[in-house]
Amino acid sequence: MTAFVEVRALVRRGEFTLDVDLAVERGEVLAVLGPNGSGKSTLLAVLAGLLAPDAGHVRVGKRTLTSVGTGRATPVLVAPAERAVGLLGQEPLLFPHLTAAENIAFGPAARGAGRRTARLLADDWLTAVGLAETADRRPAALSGGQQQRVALARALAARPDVLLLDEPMASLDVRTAPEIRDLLRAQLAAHRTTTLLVTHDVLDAVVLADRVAVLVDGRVVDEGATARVLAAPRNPFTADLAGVNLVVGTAESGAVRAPDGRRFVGSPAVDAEPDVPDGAPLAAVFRPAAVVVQTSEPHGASPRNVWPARVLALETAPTGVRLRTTGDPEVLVDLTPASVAALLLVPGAKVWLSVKATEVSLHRR
Amino acid sequence: MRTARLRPGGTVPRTLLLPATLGVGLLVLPLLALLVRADWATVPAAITSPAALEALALSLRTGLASTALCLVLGVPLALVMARARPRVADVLRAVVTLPLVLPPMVGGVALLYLLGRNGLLGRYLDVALGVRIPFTTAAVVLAQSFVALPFLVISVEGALRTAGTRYETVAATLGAGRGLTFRRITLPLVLPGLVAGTVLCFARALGEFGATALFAGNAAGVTRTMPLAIYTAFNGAGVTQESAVALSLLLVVVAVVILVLVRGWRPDQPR
Repeated sequence: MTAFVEVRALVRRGEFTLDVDLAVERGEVLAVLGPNGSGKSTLLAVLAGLLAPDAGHVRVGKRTLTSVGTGRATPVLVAPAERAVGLLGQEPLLFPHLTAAENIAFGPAARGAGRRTARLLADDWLTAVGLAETADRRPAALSGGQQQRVALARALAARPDVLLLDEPMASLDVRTAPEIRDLLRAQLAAHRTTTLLVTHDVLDAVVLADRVAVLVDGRVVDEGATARVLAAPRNPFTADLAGVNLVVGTAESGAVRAPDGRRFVGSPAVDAEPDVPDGAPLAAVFRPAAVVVQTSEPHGASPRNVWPARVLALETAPTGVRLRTTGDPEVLVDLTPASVAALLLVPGAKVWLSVKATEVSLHRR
Repeated sequence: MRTARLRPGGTVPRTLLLPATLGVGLLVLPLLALLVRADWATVPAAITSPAALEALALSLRTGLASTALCLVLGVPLALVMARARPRVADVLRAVVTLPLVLPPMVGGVALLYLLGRNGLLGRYLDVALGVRIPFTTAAVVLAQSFVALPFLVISVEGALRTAGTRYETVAATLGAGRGLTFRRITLPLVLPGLVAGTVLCFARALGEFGATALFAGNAAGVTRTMPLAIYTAFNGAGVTQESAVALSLLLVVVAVVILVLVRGWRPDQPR
């Protein structure tokens, strides 16, 4: 049984070589995580048909979209317009001379929908992304977040077989990014759109992706279920990425119940988020520096997350000392060397850890 | 006592103000002289004389025809140039710029040697089809197109380069083929550049003299456009010098009207 999307690409550009072999199942969201210059954009260009690899192929369903140097007599490079591969990038790139509705109607119209049908579709999509009232506005009259919503609606309205997302939250401000991320999550889930997302932001992967592939220097160094890859990083880059504590569990009265039973209270990343139903997947994210270490059980009045743990290991980190502590998942704690000395922390030491609810952001998955 | 209003940020060296003022004078004073010299009592009669109206009508007809020809040939040429590999684009740009820096007279001679009765192509046109182009209205249109085409191509190509290919790529990922993308995305994006180029092209065609005189001649009603009528009047053949001044004024007015129209036309901006 072969996957819905298969891409095998070898691209050489001077010193740099991209050499990847990835598959995405129908309806799945695969996040390709990697630092700048790891070859993420090159990979997307190969998939979108904007770049012919030196060798490799792209298959979607039964269609071969690209095939170069793989033993076939004639190379195949289907034009971008014929691929049914959508692309949403950092910048919305809405057509400036068309209204929001006309932008969204462009894809359906290009694929042969009548004028009225395309317009009705556009109105439906605008409602779906919460912008019904902006139908007749030009992009210049929309905010950055609104533009990206319209761009998402435009990409999905073209009904692509595969949607490529190129850091779609990267150019948004910190308040807008979580909203768009949540909208993406909801829309991708609702339409079961097969998606390949490239990003260097671990949150994008946490919220959106079923699986993660980690791309470093043009090669996939780790691949697997999102929680597994981020919780047990296999290489330094992923560990850096996972420089945040990520607890993936289930919702319980608006908090996260971790696999080992610990409960994390936090605040939703998206304002005005409706209550998460109990049992739904929910992730808690907090910084290692936000964790407070004490040697006896604290008796504070403030609503805090408090749990006992043992120190597994001490590592030097750019910010001081990083503790790895027991639990499922393990929790990282950043401390100053002075605190480590004062608390007499050694591997095996029993400690009480706490983190304020305001330091914990909750993300639906 | 009033103090001079302070304006911060003056960056122009004072010594350059004099040549700048002289430059304005060089451009404006001749036109002022024209206005002063005009005998306003006879201007209306001179402008509405049958010879003048005939020349004006011919100028507008041929100007519009050559502008249309330039659009049909120039927009595709500009697109090819803007999207060509750098080396090809450089060669094409040199070819397009040549008529711009060439004296129009030379263009007229060159057109004669191509399309004249003994010209490279003209002799076959004459023998095979019985078509003779020189000294016809068609020759006027060709001469005007020869000198005006670069204006259109260069301004449209610049607009295309500025617009870039990013929106075209987006259109492709939405399933739009090249033709649809060109019509619905590329052309509307460069519309301001296209309009400016078209107006410049039309203005250049209206003013064209040298190539027309050599390649099309100076036959009243057939090839005597406004500039040729002015030249004829000035040399005293047929009409008076007063007519030359009046016709010149008319061309100045037409040029000013064109400029005002272009400046007033700005898409996507509240008026």
